[in-house]
Amino acid sequence: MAHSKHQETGTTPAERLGQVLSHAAHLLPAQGPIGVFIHHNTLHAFQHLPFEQAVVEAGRIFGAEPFLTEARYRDEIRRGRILPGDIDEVLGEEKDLTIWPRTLSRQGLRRTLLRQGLRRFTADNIEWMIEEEGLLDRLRDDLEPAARESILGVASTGSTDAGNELTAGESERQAARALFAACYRRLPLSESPEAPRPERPRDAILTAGGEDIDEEINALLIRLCAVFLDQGQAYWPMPQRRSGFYQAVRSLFGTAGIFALMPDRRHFKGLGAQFQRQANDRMTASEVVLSILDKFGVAEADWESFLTAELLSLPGWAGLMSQLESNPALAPHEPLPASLLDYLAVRLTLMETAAANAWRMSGQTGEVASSWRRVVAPKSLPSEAAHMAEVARLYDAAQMLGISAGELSSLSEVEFQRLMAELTIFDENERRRLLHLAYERRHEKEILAPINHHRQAINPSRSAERPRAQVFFCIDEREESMRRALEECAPEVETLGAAGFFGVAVNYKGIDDAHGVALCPVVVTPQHAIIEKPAANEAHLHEKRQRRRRLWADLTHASFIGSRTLIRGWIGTTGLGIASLFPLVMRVLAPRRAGEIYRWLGKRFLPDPRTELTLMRNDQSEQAAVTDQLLLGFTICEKAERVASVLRPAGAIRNLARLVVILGHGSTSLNNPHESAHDCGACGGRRGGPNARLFAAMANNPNVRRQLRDMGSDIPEDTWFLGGYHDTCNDDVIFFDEQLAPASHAEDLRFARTVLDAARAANALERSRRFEAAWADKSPAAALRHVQERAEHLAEPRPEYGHATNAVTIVGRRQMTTGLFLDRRAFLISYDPTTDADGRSLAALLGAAGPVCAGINLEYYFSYVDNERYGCGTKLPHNVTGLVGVMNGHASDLRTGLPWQMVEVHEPVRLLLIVENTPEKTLAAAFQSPVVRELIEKRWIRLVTIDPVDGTIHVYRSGKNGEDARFEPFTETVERLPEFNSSPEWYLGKLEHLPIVRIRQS
Amino acid sequence: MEKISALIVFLPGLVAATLGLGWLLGWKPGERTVARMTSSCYLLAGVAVVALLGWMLQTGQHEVRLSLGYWFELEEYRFPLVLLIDRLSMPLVALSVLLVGVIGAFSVSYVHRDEGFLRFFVLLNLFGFGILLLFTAGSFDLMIAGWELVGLTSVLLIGFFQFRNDPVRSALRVFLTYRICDIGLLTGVAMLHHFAGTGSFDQLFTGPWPNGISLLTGTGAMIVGALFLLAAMGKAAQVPFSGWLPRAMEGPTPSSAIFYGALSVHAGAYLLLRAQPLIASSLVVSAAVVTIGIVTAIHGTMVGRACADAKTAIGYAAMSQLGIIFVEIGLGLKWIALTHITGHAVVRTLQFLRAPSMLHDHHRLHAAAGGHLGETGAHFEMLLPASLRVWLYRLAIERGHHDTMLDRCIVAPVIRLAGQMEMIEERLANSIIGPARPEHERLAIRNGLRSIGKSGRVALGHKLENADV
Repeated sequence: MAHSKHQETGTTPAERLGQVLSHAAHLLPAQGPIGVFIHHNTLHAFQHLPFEQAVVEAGRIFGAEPFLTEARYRDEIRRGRILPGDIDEVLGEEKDLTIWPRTLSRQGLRRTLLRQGLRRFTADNIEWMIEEEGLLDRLRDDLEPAARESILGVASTGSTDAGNELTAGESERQAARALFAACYRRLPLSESPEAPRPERPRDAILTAGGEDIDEEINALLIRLCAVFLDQGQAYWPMPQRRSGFYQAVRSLFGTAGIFALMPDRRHFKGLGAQFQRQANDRMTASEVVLSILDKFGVAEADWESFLTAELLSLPGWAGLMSQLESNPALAPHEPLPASLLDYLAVRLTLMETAAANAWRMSGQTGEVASSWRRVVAPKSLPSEAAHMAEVARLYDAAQMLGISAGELSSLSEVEFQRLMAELTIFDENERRRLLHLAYERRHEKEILAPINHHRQAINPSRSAERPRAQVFFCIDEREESMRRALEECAPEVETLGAAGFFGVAVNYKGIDDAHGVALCPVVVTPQHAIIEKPAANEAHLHEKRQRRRRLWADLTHASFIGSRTLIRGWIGTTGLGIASLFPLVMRVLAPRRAGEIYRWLGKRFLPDPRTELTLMRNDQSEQAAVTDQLLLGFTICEKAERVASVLRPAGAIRNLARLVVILGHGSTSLNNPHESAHDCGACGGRRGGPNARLFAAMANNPNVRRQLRDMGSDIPEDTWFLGGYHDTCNDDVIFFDEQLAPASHAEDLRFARTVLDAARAANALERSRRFEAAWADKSPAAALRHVQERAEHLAEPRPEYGHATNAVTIVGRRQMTTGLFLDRRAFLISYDPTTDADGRSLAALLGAAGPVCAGINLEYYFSYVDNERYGCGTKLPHNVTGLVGVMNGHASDLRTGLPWQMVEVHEPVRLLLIVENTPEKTLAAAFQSPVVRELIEKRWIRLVTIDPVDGTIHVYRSGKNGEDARFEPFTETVERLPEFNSSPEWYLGKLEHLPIVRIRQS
Repeated sequence: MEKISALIVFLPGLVAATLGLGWLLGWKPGERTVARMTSSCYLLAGVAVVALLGWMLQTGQHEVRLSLGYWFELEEYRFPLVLLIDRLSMPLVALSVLLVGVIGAFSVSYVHRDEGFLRFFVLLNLFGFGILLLFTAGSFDLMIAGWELVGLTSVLLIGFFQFRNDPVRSALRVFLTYRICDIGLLTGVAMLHHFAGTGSFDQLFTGPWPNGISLLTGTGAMIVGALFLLAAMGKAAQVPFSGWLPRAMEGPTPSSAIFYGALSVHAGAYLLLRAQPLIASSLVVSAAVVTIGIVTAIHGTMVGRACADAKTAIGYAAMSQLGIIFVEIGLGLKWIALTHITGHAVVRTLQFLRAPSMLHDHHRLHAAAGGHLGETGAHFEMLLPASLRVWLYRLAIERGHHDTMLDRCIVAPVIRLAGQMEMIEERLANSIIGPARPEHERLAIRNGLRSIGKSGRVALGHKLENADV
């Protein structure tokens, strides 16, 4: 990452340090406190690079995997997930060159090696391969006949001069050995690479035979970070943390006098004195950092690499400091003066002391600060094993290419070097890159061919007939199955998809909330506040509710603290402890029943007043109302605009039904620190119920309708909007403000209730197919109970699978995909190209939804391909820390990214964005957003267009660095799309990803 | 009816043995098989406990004793194996069966699809067997077997994630702490045989628990009592052996719950409670138990207050209550101690299991309280001067410096001694077999490159020569 060009702009060293630090901070995880989980591209800092280059580059910096393992791709080839043709196609798009005139080209070499696969040889396994696997006793058994013949033929003629007929096995053995010997002779023992210079003192001390001081530093630093950032978990808040991390730590360790008498860990002898010295000199954090950089002789040009290396030792904690520094409002309860510079000042002070002590303990002389740079690992002896492994790789390649011992020996030096150079650049990462492209190519075909077939068979225009009802869902791919289920049980209902905040970006405060929260995509800052208030005649109920809730909170809080303190804990555990037996046994053995009891208690205990969303700024007197610098509510005009922004692009405005249901969504689960990651991405990792309710209220307002009519969008008199909420974990669907609906619509409401109830049960059944623990022969009702139990289960690390398996976004008319089984893997955005001549709607849709979908897709990609580095590993040892994140056990880095249990069923492919419009219009619309443009041009998403008129498909293709961008027609189709009478008929009893089929519409 | 007690104890052992041996022989039972075996085992054991309890209540028996025969007999001396269920062990046996059963049910979904599923359940059942054996042993000798099984399974579950560094290192640290403290139990039992000639409760104490009086008194009682105290301190994470408790949180959450919330940490208290007549007969030991309990309680509550992570905070809260339990035992408040143990075990189990909900719970609480929860830690600010507060906080953050002191006083000397021994040994060896191999060769061996070292290279060379006709 070249940032050096920015470096000269600062004037004072402190300013320049600040700039260096802000660059270094880009490499840290961008995850805020875990209570609100926002999906984003894990490698956002590398997004300006082409995808394939970025993953490798980031992999080098973070020590992470760029793609799946080569062995995994080989498995995929074996089970037919990657076909030989896919590899050929991918190779065909790469640059070719000649290695040996007429006989060997780069493409030929790569094709051969990729199809059969190089075996993995390392210094560690080479002896095993030779001794136990018979590497030298026979040739690979998957060789092409021609290759085998070419190798054997030469060997056998050379070995029969004794007149003995050799058995086939023996001649093969001899040929193999001869080939290996030839490789061995041609490949000289290579110099072992120069040992790298130490990046920071820790590396130098390790090389010099000392201990890993990072372990000591991190153990202490983790505890300090945790108590500093704590949002209310610890009973004692850290003293003086309001004055910043560095100050607080300094006052904690720099105490003088009698209180300084503490036995220091051996690595931190003198730490107190160090902090005291800094205090006496009244040093600021940046002075501390600068003085330590100076002391360790780090030149300004090396600041960035030095500080980056220090920061990446605990990226999670450093990242959170940096996140909270740039946006203190992310802190859920206690805003704190977090600062990356403070963090670094503490870290470097600890490092300085620990390095000096470790240096001394490892028996080194002199000062670590002046000597560490000179420590270089002694040049390791050229390893015979490593050499043998290299020989074996050539041997393996030679076999597949059909190069015999004789041929290899007779190669000219130039020819041989050319071959070796090709083999060297065709390293593991390069092979994985191409295999990954082939893996994605197959996915592309599995999606596009059926769609192509289907598109030719149907008429995608929206029906002129008025649908019985319409239901707007979020574009979320989890709603795909819900929509399909709804259409299956009620074909007269039209379903549509719009981003789940439904155009209303608000700061919302419900009656039970302490503060308002933003319900909109993270890139938007809401300008309007909406407050839920109890209905006027039920204000007393509201007061009662709040009184009781406060009572409950006081009691619970007291018992929570009580059980942990000394005397109260003694009374509590001795006297009442056994009473915990009931919740313990119920929660674990009968989770659903326990949930019902708790809910019943809640209902008995808490009155539920009717509420309304207040201050909608309907008249002049309300125009100027503000709260917390936000406008309270929307004006008529603003409301109309927002309603139109959802109805228009979807084309729904032309044919509205009597009842239009707007369903927001979210997810509830117990014992799940990652709960928020399952909520609505378009609502900034929160639940989108209020947005749906608000949208309906606005769309039902007569003044808004009048305004809309003036804007040219007529909503029929008899259309009623109903807000609702879908819980994607327990598959509950609730409606808001049903009582406001006119009596004429009672029957419509009943109908909506009935069909949505049927749909959510069917949806639960389809979700259950992925859960191994849910047997396949369940009925929809049983499946519904199963998913409800998951949501209530303390012991359920996968309450739902969230966005796992997401792979496709389709922007177009639903009619194009109605009846297709998309396996909950496609974000569906309703877009009617026939009403969008200027592409404005498309630009708006892509600009808003593109980054959200890509963020989700890429976060899953990275958390899956390297779950330990990019994800947060298995959930089982996770430990909630400071209410801001999770650690493994008692002292680890803060784990960011997604846990394995969330991604385990994922298929890591880049998002396939399918837009129903012409290539030109699509590109013009997409490129209006710089982010989307970058995502497309730098290959972070794959773009496809479908012509709205004739349905021809074009795929956006470019070279691996984004060069030669062009649209290529996609003509492949399937002969016949399998048809089923219902979705369950197809999916029941299957755990794996399922291809697209057609579900017959009744 | 007495035989039922054997059923209760050995059922989990049988499940563990079946799964474990089967696994060794290549059997890969599915998750559902494992789950069914475990749940039916504890269901059956639970029924047996209820039946036994009912029978004891009906017949008015305070004790059920089952002799399993003798381990060995030497002339006069016999080593009896006796299971004993009395008023002390009955509640703990019932609790163990219930909690291990509940944790088993919990883990079926929690550990689902983890590659260590089978290993987890083998260890959990083995632990169930160990803890039940510990609680039902009729003698201190037999108790050792249960004690060691509990320690071993505890360590193996801390290191459950065996491919990561931290869990394995933590497990090793816990293992060493356990081993050091186990010396107390082993030598204590040996001393018991030396002074009293037996390890059986019925021969050591005059009557059934809690009425017995120790027959061994004086110096003997003091020495044995002190040694048992050392053993109990290790398992119960008492000062200064408390540093292992936070490290034990590396394992999966349910194992943290059953070991460090519920059963394993209370095993030390049980040992003292069982040996209570012996301890009561020595004022020195009683005073030591009370003192250690008080110090631990204060240490636990102080450190716990500064813990910002869910599991460690619960661990330290448990530690402070364990301190109080020690005080109760030292003061001879046997029934209170027993009630405290049972109540405490249940509370902590639930708290550990709910630990991942911390975020959710706190958020709800915060909202319900109207965005303002009562300030915590305020009375310290009123009572203590600022400098002392900072000092105490630092002490809490550093976990009382116990590990530092242990490292200095025990670990460092041992390492130094071992280093000296190694040097002596090397010099001795050199004098016999000649000088050591050159440095670079040793380095190569250490790097694991011996695979194709000198000899391998020669061998390979030969092979190549042979092929090269």
